[in-house]
Amino acid sequence: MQRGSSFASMEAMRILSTTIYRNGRFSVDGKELARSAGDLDHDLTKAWTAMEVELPRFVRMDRSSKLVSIAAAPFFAADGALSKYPKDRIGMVIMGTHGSMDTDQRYLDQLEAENHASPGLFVYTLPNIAMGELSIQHGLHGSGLCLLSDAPDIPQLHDACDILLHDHDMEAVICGWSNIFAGSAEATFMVVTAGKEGNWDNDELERIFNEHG
Amino acid sequence: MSTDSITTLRQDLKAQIISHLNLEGRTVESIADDMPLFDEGLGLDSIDVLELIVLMDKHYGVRIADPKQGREVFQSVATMADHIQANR
Amino acid sequence: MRVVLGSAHVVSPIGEGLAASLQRMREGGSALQHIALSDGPAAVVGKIPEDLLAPGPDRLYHLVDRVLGNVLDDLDRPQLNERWGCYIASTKGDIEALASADPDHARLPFLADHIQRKAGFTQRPWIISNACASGTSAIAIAGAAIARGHIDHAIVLGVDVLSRFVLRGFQALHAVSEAPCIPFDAARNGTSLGEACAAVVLTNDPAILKNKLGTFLGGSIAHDANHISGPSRTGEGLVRAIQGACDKAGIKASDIHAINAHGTGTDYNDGMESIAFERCELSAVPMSGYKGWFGHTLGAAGILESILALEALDRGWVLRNEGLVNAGVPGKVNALLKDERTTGDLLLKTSSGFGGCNAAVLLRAWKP
Repeated sequence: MQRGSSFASMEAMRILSTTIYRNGRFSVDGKELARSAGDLDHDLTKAWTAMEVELPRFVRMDRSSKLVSIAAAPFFAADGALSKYPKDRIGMVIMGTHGSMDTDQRYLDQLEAENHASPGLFVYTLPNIAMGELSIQHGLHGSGLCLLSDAPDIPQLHDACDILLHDHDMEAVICGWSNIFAGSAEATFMVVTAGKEGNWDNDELERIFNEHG
Repeated sequence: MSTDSITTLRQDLKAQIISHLNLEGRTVESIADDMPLFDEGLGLDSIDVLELIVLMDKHYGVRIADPKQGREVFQSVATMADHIQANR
Repeated sequence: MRVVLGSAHVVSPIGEGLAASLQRMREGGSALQHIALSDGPAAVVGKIPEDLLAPGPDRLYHLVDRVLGNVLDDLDRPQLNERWGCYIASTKGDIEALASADPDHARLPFLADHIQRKAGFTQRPWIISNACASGTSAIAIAGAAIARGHIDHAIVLGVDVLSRFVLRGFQALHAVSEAPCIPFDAARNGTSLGEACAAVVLTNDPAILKNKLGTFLGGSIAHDANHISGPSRTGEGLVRAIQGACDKAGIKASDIHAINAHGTGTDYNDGMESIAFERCELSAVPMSGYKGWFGHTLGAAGILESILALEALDRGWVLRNEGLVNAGVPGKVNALLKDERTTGDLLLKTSSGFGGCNAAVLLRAWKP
């Protein structure tokens, strides 16, 4: 049984599905959904279009929120990993290192150049807004944690999922790494559930979350 | 005010709204003069009201002191144009 | 297994330390003050007194060091091995660094690195950034981590400092008042920003605590799924968070003796909270928010306010809503105008933030 950062016995957790967005390529469970090598905004739009989701709000979001929306989208498809779970029992654990700094910079640039604070930009200058946008999109009322770390911290993600599943009574957790800054974006998301046949493997996940291919 | 200049003001407003609120993919032609700006229609929200208040002030010199007043003024491009004409 | 809280320390606009802060609240009014910005509108804010925290670019780190040092001294500087967790709650960290020569210092993990090095934690600290619900979320998570057996002890620390970045943003949203904020008042028209650092220890071994504050019974986090900056009018997320915490703790609404609310002084937040409290059958419970004294301290708020409310309850008090004259919220609530004596010991603490995030924790006072 895999454990996070403690020696206490913990219940098994099962990963049902994984999406990866890296270098303009977006895939779910190893199957490529979109590939693009333009600029970041172009790449994000291309990946979103491939999701074939009707959401007028998408073009209004900041980049962090777009990336999170893309990374989670396949889970909510008709045959997706979360399709059978009640919306108020789906939790979220989203970790990154720059948080909202992509938008923070845009907001600050405008503030310094024009002495004007944009309300439309300011509302996105918190790391958890992307998680908020995801919850609005899919009607998710469950628990959620926005975590920050220098790099993907697999034991911490493990412990966070354990808490959301067993202490906050979530049935499934969208858990992953999402980071966007200085023209570069990457996300690795999983759907995690409690289950007798656990398949959470710290070493395997370190590899998946940290590969830059 | 002549019909032409009313039309010009409305068209100008539509272009300003699209640019100021970053409404990617929206064209001036796709916004009808009396299309509701909020909820169904253009889908703007309370944060957009605050941005539109800034737009009114900076671009048209018309001040709206209270955001709550904003909802009435920003019903549609037509009501925005009327407010500008009445107050500038 | 009990999860006990203690060895807490606070530095805020009303001063330093639990006893001194509580005395200040009992005997004095708001510490909110008017300040002028050189390149923006004037504002009313809660500012930490300069004799406690001098101006300067490293202000945030001095503040954290002061509070953390105090907590560690109280614990007799234990070895912070893998059985110790650290949970940091902050919304913006060192955000002013973004405009400096070291913009990377604005990244929240930079603050966590500083804390880990200063304190000597073996484990990487968690940084929880759930907007204004960060502090209460951090307490909920730390309590759950101990209950689940991940760790035996945790230091939970919340911090945010005043910044032009945040103040100008709140002004742009028309979310700040030009007078000191008056939570739950009919005339309320915005919040007042503040700054603070607050830290508390949670442990399954109360013997390590020289000063015990209370016990952690349960916590929960839930989302409104409504709007990124406006709360659900019907309090969907907060109702669920309160119910979740009660279910976890095995208690009913009628068991609760006091509520420490989020109470920012904005029209929407306080209105939403009142509706949520009524929906949860908490209308009669003595309720107050503390932001009238020191403002909205963002990431520190949930921790600062929980600590002070528990301390008050330990001493048999539920404090008033400072500044409240005439309650005017849509939901039926018992918003205190004056401090009240109580023999009760069960406190509900709630916090709500942008992104529609809501957190609730149930804490029991420590009575000798």
